[in-house]
Amino acid sequence: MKTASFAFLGLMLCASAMAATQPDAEATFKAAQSEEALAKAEQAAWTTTETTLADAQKSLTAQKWDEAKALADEALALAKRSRAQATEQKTLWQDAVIR
Amino acid sequence: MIVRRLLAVLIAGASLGAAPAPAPNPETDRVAFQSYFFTKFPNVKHEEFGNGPYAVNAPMRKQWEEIMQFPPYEPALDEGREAFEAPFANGRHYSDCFDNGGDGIRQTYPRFDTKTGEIITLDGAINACRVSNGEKPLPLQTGVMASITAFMSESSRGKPFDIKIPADPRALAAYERGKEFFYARKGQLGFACASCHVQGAGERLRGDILAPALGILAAFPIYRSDWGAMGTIDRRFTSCSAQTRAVPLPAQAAAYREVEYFLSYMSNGIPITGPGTRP
Ligand code: HEC
Repeated sequence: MKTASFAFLGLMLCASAMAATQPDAEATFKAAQSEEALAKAEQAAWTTTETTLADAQKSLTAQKWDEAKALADEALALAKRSRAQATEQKTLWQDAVIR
Repeated sequence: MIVRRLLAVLIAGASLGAAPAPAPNPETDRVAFQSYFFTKFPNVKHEEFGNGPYAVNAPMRKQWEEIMQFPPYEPALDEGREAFEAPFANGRHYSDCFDNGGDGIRQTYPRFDTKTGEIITLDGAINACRVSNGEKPLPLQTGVMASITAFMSESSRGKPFDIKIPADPRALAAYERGKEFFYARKGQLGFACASCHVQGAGERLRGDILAPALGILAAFPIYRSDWGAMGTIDRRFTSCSAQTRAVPLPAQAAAYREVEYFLSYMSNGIPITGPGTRP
């Protein structure tokens, strides 16, 4: 039992360390794009997210799935952080006001 | 049961602990804002705040005084006068759109428009005038728009900012949104406008001395040597947004108009100096 689950875990780790597939890369890129669209609608977008997305797009076009997946992951994380910043600042800005 | 009691305690605590946000009062804000800068720069005469970095940095001021013997915005002033005086295709003029024929009114912009509930800047009013007379709007960042606003600003030199917030909840809300935009951190670098132009005012950032937020719009439009051209308020806001690694908003976006409204109201009493020149 124990051996089996270890073997399973090992397999999973191998899979994630293995090269990203085209569907992986494309799905992550789509997710990053829609997160960034939300950030833009909230006027919270970062220029770095935009350039990272553009780089991911280039890697997709070049069929470099590993690179594309890594860049899309990064863009997704940036877009999420930019939206979190905007949400947080909805109240935090008041601490900065000159009184 | 326990959960419900815990919740009740938490809610009671929250409503006791958190002081209610004070009711917005622009005049209280303005007095506090101005005295912050008067205290931070005790040797700067109040009317000098319209000179941006030159008000707070002596070596730069000397350079500036030399440049001002042949102000680089002169050609824009000439172009602006010509454009302002030329009739539209329908025979009407810019002067038909503005109070006092557009003479000496720059200090009263931005205004709250009670019809639309929107903030209207001078640049926006110029384009609205064009459109209502069947002309295409002008590009907003530089060029003829900067020249016309330069010409109109010059006729307001020395007149203190006189921004009104009428007793209309929408005007107060626009002011509050502008204030939030100014103080909220943005961009990957997490800077607010205030980080650079309040806390950082007078400090050096790369080649620049950061202008104090008080009077920061009095000199617009400006000729900047690093642009090699004139620039409007939109141009400046756009590049400041980009410096924080935030995606800039489109020119005349509501948020830009509202932060202009806030900053101009904060500067009530500071005289117009525009057009200006910057390194
Ligand atoms: C990272 C620092 C930084 C931030 C944040 C920043 N700016 Fe600036 N800003 C500058 C620099 C640098 C200049 C050019 C030097 C100067 O004049 O202050 C400038 C200039 C300006 C000027 C023109 C001042 C003059 O006298 O020529 C205005 C107006 C302005 N900023 C508005 C804003 C607004 C509004 C925001 C928020 C959206 C903002 N800035 C955020 C760095 C910043």
